Amino acid sequence: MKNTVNILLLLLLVFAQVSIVSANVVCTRNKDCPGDTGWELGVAIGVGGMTNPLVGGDNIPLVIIPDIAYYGDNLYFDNAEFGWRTSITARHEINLFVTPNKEKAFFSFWHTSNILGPIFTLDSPFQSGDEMNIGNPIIGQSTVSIDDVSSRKWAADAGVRWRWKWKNSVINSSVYADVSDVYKGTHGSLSFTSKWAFDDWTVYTSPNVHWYSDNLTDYYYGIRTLPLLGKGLGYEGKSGLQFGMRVLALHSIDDSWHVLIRASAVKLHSGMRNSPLVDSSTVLSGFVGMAYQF
Amino acid sequence: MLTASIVAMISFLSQASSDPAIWRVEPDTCLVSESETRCFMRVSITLLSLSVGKVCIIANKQVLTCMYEGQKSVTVDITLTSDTTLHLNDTNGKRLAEHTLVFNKLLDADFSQRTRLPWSLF
Repeated sequence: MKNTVNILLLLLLVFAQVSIVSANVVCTRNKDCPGDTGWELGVAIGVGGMTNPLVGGDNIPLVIIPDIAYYGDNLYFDNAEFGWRTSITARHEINLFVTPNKEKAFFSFWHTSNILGPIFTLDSPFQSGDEMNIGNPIIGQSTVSIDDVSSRKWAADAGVRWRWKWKNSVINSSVYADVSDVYKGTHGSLSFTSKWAFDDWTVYTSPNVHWYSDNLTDYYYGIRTLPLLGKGLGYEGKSGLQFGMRVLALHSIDDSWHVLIRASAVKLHSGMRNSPLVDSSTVLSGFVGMAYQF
Repeated sequence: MLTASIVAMISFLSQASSDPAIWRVEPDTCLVSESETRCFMRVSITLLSLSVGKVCIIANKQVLTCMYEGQKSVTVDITLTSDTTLHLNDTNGKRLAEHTLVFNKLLDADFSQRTRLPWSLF
C-alpha cells in the first residue's frame, strides 16, 4: 500500500513537471549547448556530507567534489562512468557503460564493532577503520570468522540506459549488472530529470526510483556467518524498490565561478531497512560550496 | 614534471573555454520545439578589450542598442526566426566584431548533453 502511494506521488510529480517545463532553451555554444563535445572539468570546495544508515556508521563528509566529464561523438566519460552512446532517434538515446557500484561507500565509513559490539564481546579489540582484516576474533569460547559481515568489496557494474529526451527534461531508465563477480546481482533505476533556468540560476530536479535485486541487497546488507552462533541471528536481504529525490542548483557568478548547492534524500527499501546492520531508513545528502569550472 | 604537465593542461583548457575576442555574447543559441518558428532570448553582451568611444550593436541592419565610452555590458532582447548575426560597429560604421546567434530546433539538439547529473561523482 505504501509503495503504491509512493508510486502515485512520483507520477504526480513527474506529470506536474512535464506540464510546466519551458519550451525554449537558450545556451552558449561550446559551453553548455546540447551536442557540444569535449571536456568539462571542475572542482567544488565547500561543506556537506551524506548520512550513513549503518549502525553507528560515520557520516560521509563532502568537502571537495570534482566534476570530470568528456564527451566525444559516441564515447564518453562522466564522473567514473565510462560509456558509449548512440541516438536511436532525435529523442531517444541508448547508453552502454561501466561504472563502480557505490554501495560499498557506506562500509568504508563504518566499523564492524558498531554492529558486533552490542551483541558480542571481542577478546581483542580492534581500532576504527580496521574492519577489513579483523581476522578470527574470539567470541565467547567460539572462533568465528566475521569477514562476511565486516568486509564488503567494491564492485563494478555494466549497464544499459535508455534516455528519452523531451524539452527540458530527460527520462533515464537504467539496468545494471555486476561484472566484477562481487555481489552477483542486478539493479535498475528510473529517473525524471528536469533542467530549469532562472536568470543566473540553473536548477536540476530529479525524482527517481531504484530497484535492488536479492543478491545485491543480501551481499551488502545480509549477514551470513552469524547463524554459526545460533538460528535467528543471520539476515538475508531481499529485493525492493526505493524512492529518492535529487536537487542540484548552480548560481553563476561569472564564466568560471559558481555557487553549488546539492541535496538528495533516499528512502531505503525494506530489504535494507530490516537488516541488523542498518539503523536509519533514509540517506540524506547535502553540499554547499563554491565551484570552479575550467 | 607531472605537475607541470597537469598545470599546463588545465591552463590550456581554461584558455580554450574563454572567448579571446573583443566581446562576449552569451547565450548565443536559441532552441525551440518543432512546432515553433520564433525563439525569444535575452542576450548579455560584454566588451572585453575595446577602448573606442560609442559603439552600436546591429542585427538585420537595425540598431539594437548602443554602448557609450566606459560602458562594459548591455542586455539585448531579441526574437530569432533564423540564424542572425550581431555586428559591433563604431560610429563611423566600421565593423569591429560580429557574432552569430543560432536558431535551432530542439529536435535536432535536445536537452542534456551529459548522461548524468553534473557534480554527481559522490
